[in-house]
Amino acid sequence: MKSTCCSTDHQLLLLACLLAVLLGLPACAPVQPWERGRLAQPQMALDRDALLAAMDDHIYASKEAASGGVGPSGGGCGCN
Amino acid sequence: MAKFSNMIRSLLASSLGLPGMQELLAQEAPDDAIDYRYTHYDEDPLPLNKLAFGDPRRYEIQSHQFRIIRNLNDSYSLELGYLHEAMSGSSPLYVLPDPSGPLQVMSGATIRERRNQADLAITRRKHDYTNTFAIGYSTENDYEALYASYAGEKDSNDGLRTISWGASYSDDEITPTDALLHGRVLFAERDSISGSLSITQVLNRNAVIQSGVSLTRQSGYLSDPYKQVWINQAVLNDSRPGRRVMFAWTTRFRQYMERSRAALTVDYRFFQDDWEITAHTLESAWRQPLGDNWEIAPSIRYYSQVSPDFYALFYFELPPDGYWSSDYRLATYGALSYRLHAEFRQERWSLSLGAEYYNSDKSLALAGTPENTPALVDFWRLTLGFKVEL
Repeated sequence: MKSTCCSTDHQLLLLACLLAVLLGLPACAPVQPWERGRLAQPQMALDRDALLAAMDDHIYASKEAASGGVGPSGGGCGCN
Repeated sequence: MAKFSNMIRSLLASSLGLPGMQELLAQEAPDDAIDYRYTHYDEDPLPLNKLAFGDPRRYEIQSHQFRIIRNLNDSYSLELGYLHEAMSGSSPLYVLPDPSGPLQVMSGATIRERRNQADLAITRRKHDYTNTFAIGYSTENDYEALYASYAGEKDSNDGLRTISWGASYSDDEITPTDALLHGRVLFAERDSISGSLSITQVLNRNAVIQSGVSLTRQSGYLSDPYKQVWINQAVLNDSRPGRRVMFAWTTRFRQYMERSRAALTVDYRFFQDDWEITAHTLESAWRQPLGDNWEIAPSIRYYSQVSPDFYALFYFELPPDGYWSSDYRLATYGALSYRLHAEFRQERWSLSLGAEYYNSDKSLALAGTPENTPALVDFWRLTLGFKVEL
């Protein structure tokens, strides 16, 4: 049985951040093809750089217990 | 209607010449390109007041990544990836109890090893569907992995929604070095199978969101053959359950800022597995274009995890279930990393530079009961990338 530690403040802060993001989400609105220029800007890409994203996943997954994202994963490594 | 919609999008992509249109419209093939990235990764040494014995210098890794994308025709494209890593440094072994606090035992000799990985992917784009099959192989002196994956995407008729799904399988073999000398397992296997599903939705002309889940099942030898545990004066090998099921829910949000032309990004991942590890990851970046060619992107990433029940720094009694581990990567802790990324773009090529500092500490833990884990890692990462469109 794990007990909750002194970091309840951290938990509340994270919850507040998530709520702020979710409440701040604008509702879905019809977007015509000629209105999608901003969405197509490079800074709006979900994955900015494929090699950088792969290296991020590799490093964090080898140093942290959590792994996995929105796509299929690659092979393992003997990283320690 | 779909054809008309596709025609409009194609016209937009070509006549407006909008950069990055390919990323928005999934069924558009990327340009032929060659991509290279160098990464220097350097862990801070273990503080001497936390060291029992061994070498305090930790891992330093140089990585070279290459990627070539080649379109075979209007429907098919090939992607070839290669990675080479050279690693050196010492590794945490186990933790000793001490009146002054837990002390870390490190490996004595500096470990040197190399890892090579090659991937090949073929993608077929047809109408609103994209299907990618990939295989890969990773080898180092004590570890081999052979893996395959499939990823599919379907765009909605109005081009405002993409549904993505995927599956992957990895077959890994472990042959630890100096196994007889140190009483390690001589040979072991593990495999991993995973599935994922996500949806990407354009919210309005300035915002897009993606949310998805993944489920991964690992089985076989999931212990670390180089990690040990102090149990009541004895030192035993790391021993973890032979099965692990992991769940991750990830949501990514992008908001365009009209006044500054910048993008605010927020990514969140919730992770839980049947070892009772729970983790949260929250990352946010501000991607700011400067002039026509530059982009600067400061970002911050927060991570927190709660350890599994079988983890402890050390044990005074042999756990009855037969599972024990003192691997610092299973401890309860939190981490903050600060990143800065800069990119210079020309019409057919781009150059990027990046830096990251990662700091982990028990005081950053969101929940659980963090202990004074001596081996929690801090590291620097510097990266340089170059991309040419052919």
